[in-house]
Amino acid sequence: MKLVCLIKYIAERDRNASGTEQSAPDEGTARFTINPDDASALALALGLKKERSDITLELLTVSTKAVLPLVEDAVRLGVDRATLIHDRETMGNDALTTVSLLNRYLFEALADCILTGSQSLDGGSGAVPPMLAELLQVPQISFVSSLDLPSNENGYARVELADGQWVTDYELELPAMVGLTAMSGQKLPFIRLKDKRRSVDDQVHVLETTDARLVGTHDWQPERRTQQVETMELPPRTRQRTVVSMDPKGMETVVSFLKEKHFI
Amino acid sequence: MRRVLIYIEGGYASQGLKLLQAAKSVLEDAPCETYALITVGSTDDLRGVFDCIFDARSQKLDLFDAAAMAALIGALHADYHFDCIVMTATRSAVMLAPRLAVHGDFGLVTDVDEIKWQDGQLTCFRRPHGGRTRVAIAVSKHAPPLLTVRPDAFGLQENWTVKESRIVEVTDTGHPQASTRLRKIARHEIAEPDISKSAVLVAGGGGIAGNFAALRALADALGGEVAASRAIVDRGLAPRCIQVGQSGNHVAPRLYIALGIHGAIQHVTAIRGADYLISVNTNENAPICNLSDIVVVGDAFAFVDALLKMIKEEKGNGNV
Repeated sequence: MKLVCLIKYIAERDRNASGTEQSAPDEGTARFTINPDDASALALALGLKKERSDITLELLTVSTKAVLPLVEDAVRLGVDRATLIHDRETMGNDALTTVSLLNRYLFEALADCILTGSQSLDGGSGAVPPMLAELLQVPQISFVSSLDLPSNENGYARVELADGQWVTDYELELPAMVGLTAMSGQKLPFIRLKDKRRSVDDQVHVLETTDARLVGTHDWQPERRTQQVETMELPPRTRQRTVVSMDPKGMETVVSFLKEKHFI
Repeated sequence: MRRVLIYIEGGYASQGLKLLQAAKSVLEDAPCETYALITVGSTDDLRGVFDCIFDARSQKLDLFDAAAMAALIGALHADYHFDCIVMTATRSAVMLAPRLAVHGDFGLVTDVDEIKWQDGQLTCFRRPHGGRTRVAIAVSKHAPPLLTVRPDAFGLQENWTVKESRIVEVTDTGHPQASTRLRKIARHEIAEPDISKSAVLVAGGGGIAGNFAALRALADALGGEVAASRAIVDRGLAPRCIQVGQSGNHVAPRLYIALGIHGAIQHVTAIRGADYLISVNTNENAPICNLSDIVVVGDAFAFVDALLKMIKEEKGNGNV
């Protein structure tokens, strides 16, 4: 069974979210880290691979070459193959470009199950996995906390989805796409000391966007319909403290406040 | 005549009028026909509000079957050519809206909390997930906006005229494989809620140890969850999963009501991300009161009773 894990690496400066699709970190100086939800997806995938010898695991990312050390570390943790699609222009920060590139690659990759994160901490809206699923015509579900795979690639994957007070179990016919969250509790292991310096060059592949494998008749290139026009840093929250008593006038103040802020 | 579609997700019926207000912000004063789509729940609250109600309940679509929902809405859009589609920003919308955007010519903006027209351009404001910034997204005038709107970001539409709603039963979802590729197996209530996801938290501390259970009613009335300080958890009055603090959950709700909580640094650190904070305490100089938007000096139990009564009155007057 072939698993593909889609990973987003976020710039450390964006960990507090500077914006959305069109901001691109400085390739030369930015430090990157794996998005927490995606780390959970990778941790789950590595765990599944450890349990089952029939599973092959590929890591796929659209990013800058600056993340190569992190990609290599993932291979040292047990990933069989890693592919970095080198997007010079937006470095994985533009949803439409990312979806377009991933669609081209995955169309040929024939994965049985694609694991992703659900949302990214750099302001991502979680749009990439469902958009990709729609193009690939596979069932997709996000915010999953656990995943059980069938014994063969013709079966159904079983997932748990937590939403508020409820946990719902779903089955998805493979091939399918599943989005994990950091709340799933899956944690990446540490790299063993003896593996830290192991060469993994033959398992890591870098594709440029002009690569023949990324060009095909199934190309999807939508027109850009939105544009980020402004980013505003939120000022530190200063609170105008109002002190009231537990009397009708005080309670009116509270209710008016709640109504003004649309809580009631 | 412009057309706007509001998808009203099950459990979010109260957002219908607020979503309509968001749509009105897009279309401004242009005359428009309003359409609502439901897949569960009742049409009763929607009658008189919308010109047309698409009733897709008979299709028994699952909330998280985004492929089927996208096909349904896409099919309706192909027939009706909506000028704007709005839905609540929920977990299912995270999956649905992007799928819908792929095949339509929409300008997708998610988690919108404000809409303006600036220099002749429709601009939607959102606060990115995990973010300390706010971004403005302009939508092309050639694309119908497809918006997911944060719950309660818009107020109820006021002064709306009563309409003669027509009901259209949806008999074809346009997605024949829906029931086979993704299917619900079981559903159960979790004993341990994830309070970090709740927009409203009603938290109790040592000052309400006498009857911690009393907080549940207020949390329900505000559509939120109950949380607890360490003092309550250590006494065995609440599970650790709802503890707020350095050794518990860090939370960033829109509203945090702290009842009988002193405000130790370990607790305060975990609630710094809250948008609005109301504290109720007999000591107005308790540390948590210094961080609050409103401090109510008095008994927490009396506050809960009084606020519940007033919320009930507001609902009875049709103000909610």
